[in-house]
Amino acid sequence: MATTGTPEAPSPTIAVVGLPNSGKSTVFNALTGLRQRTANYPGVTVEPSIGWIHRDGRSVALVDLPGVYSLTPRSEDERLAIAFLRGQLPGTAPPDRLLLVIDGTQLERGLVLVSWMAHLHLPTALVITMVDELTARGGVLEAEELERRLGIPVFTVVGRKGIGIAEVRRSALAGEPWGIPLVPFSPDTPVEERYRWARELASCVVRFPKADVVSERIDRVVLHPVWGLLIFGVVMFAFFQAIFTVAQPAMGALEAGIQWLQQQLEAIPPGIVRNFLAHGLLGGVGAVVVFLPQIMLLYFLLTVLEDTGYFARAAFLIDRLFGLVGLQGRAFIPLLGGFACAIPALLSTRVIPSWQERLTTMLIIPLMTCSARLPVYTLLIAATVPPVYIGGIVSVQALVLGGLYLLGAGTGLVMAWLLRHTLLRGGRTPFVLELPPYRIPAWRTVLGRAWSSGRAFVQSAGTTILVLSLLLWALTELPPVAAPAELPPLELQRLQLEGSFAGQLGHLLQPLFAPLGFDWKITLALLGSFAAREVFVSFMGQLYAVDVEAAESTLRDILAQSLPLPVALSVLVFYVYALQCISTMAVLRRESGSWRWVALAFAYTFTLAYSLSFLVYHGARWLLS
Amino acid sequence: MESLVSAMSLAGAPLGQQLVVCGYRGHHPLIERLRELGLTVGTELVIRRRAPFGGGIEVEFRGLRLGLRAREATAILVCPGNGYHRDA
Repeated sequence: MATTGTPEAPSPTIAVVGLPNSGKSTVFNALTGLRQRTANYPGVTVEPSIGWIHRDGRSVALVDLPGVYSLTPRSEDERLAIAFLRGQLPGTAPPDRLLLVIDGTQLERGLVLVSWMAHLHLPTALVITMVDELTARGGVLEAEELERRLGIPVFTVVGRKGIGIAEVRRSALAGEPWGIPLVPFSPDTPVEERYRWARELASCVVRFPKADVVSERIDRVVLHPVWGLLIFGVVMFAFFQAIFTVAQPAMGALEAGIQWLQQQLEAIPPGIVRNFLAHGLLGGVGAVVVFLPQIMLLYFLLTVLEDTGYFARAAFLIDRLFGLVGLQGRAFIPLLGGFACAIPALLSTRVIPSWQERLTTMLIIPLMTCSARLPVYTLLIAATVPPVYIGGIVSVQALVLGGLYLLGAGTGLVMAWLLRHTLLRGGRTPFVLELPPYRIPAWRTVLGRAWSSGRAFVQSAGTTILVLSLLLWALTELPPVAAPAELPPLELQRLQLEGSFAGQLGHLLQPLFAPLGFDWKITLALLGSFAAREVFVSFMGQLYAVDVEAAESTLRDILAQSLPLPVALSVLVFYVYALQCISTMAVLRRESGSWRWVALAFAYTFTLAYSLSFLVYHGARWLLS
Repeated sequence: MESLVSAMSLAGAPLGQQLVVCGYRGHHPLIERLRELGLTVGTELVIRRRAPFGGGIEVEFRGLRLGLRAREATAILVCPGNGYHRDA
C-alpha cells in the first residue's frame, strides 16, 4: 500500500504550489490517486503529502505543499512550504520543478503568485483549475496566449472531474521542457506593481466573466444574522450527531470482530499466554482500530464542510465569540468534535493556521466531555443522584448531566483565555478568511482524505497506543495471583485485579486520593480508565464482583448503597477534568511534536480535577450534614 | 492626496458602497499580508455584510470575498468612489 508507490531510484521531485483554496489538493489527488503518504520532515508540525506518478519505469514524486501567498511566510504552514521550495528544509533537497496551480476565476491573484515563484528560478508549468466555473460564468480563457506571454506550459483542468489531468501527468512524466516564468520583476518589486502587471496580463487572456451571483444569493441567507445562526446551529447539531451515532455501528462491528478473534484463542490452554494474546495484544489492537470509524467519518464530514465552502462561512459567523478567549472561528470544529472523541478532534486542529492558537485548542480539547465519559456519568448519576423532578418536569439527574458538560466546556474556554494570555501569547495570524464560491465537493478528494487520515492515525499514533495498552495490560495481569480454581470466574478476576501491580499501585496511591473521598477501589478504577474512560465501569464491576454486561442494575444498586453522594459527585468532577486517556496523550504527543505539551495538559487537568473534586467533596459533605 | 480628506477606516465604512483603498494605518506584518492578498492602494472594494456579535466584515475585491476581523479592518483606510487609479 504505502510502500508499493515508493520507487527504488530517486525520482525527480515536483513541488505543487498554489494559493490557499486554489484547488491545489484536488489537482494533486487527481494526479497521484491513492499513491501517496504524508511526509515526515524533522522539526515541522505540518505534514505535506507526497505522491507518485509512474509509467514505463519512469516515476516522478509530487509534494503537495501548504498554500502560500508570496515568498514571505506569515504562518507555520507557509514557513514550511517556502523553506522546502528554497531547499532550506533540513534533510531535503530543493524541488527539481514547480507545478503552479491557480484558480481560473481568480486569475489576477494567481498571476501575482506566479510572479513571486518566478524568483525561485525553477522549471515551472502552470495548471489553471476551475475552468468549468469560468465558462459557466461566461468567461473565455486563452491559454495559448498566456503560455506565449509567460514562456511556460499552461494546462487547463477541471480537477474534480479529472478533465485535463492526463496531459499534466504526461508532461510531468516525460520531463517535457518547462520554463522559468517571464516576469519583469526583481525579488523586491513591491506587490502593487505585480498586481498592476497581473491585471493587465489577465485582461489580455481572459474575457472577463460575470460575478458569482449564486454564492452571493446563498450567502444572503447563510450569513444572515438570524437565519445564518439558525442554519449554523442545525449544521453543527447534524455534524455532532453524525460523529456520535453514525460511527457507532462500525465501532460496534470492529469490537465484535476483536471479540470473535479473542474467542478463537480459547483453543489455547488458559494461562498467561492466552491472556496476553487475547486481552493484551488483541485488546491493544482493538483500542487502536476502534477509533478508525470516528476519525475517518470526522475527516469525511470536515472535508465536505470545507470543500462546499460552508466551513469558512461558519468560521466567519462564530469568530467573534472565539475571539473573546483568544481563539479564532476555525477552532469550533475541533472543539465540537471533542464532545465525540478527543482523538479525531486533535487531528482536526490542523485547520487552524496559527501554531499558538492551534496548540491552545489542542490543550483544551480534553475538557470537552467525550462520549467515553458518558457511561461513567450515567452509571454514577443513576446510582447516587435521587431521581426527583423540580416542579415535576426538570429531572435533577439530567440537570447534573448537563451541568457536567457545561462545566467542562466553560472551563475549557477559561483555560484558553488563560493560555493565550500567558504561555501561548501572540502568534496572531491576521484573521483573513477567504469565502470561496459554493461548490460541490470532489468525492475523490473527500474519500481520499478520509482514507489517508485513517492510515496516518494507525501508522503513527497507533503504535504508541498499542505499546501503552500493553503496558496497562501487564500492570493488571502481572504478577499472576494464585487462587483456588473452583472460585467463580468473577471472583477470580477480582482477586487478580487486587493482587496485580495495578492493584498495589491503587493501594499505594490511595492516600493521595483520600482527601477527595476516593477509596482504593475507586482509585484503582481510575487507573484503569487510562486505557479508555469507559473501563472505569468494567473495573468497578470487577472490583465489586458483579457482571456488568449481564446486569448493569446490580452494580448500580450496589453503588447506590455503598457510594455516598459526595464521593460520587467528587468522582464525576474528577472525570470532567482529568486527562486520563493514553490514546489522547499519544495523539497529543504526535500533533504537538513534544511530550512537554502532554505533560502540561496532564498537569493542568490533574490540578483542576484534584482541587475541584476536593472542593465538591467537602462542600457536598458540609451541605448534606 | 485630496482623497485623504474623506478617508475613513474600513471598519466604519458603509455597507454596499463602492470604496477604494487609499492607505493604511499602522505598520505591521498584517498590512503586508493584506497587500499580498490584493488590498493594494487603489483597489476597488465593497463591504458585503457584517458578521453577528459585532464581529468582522466581509469585503469583495478583485473577484475575491474575504472575511476580516475588526482589528484587520481598522488598519485599512478607504475613500468612497470608483478607483482613482484606474490602471491599478
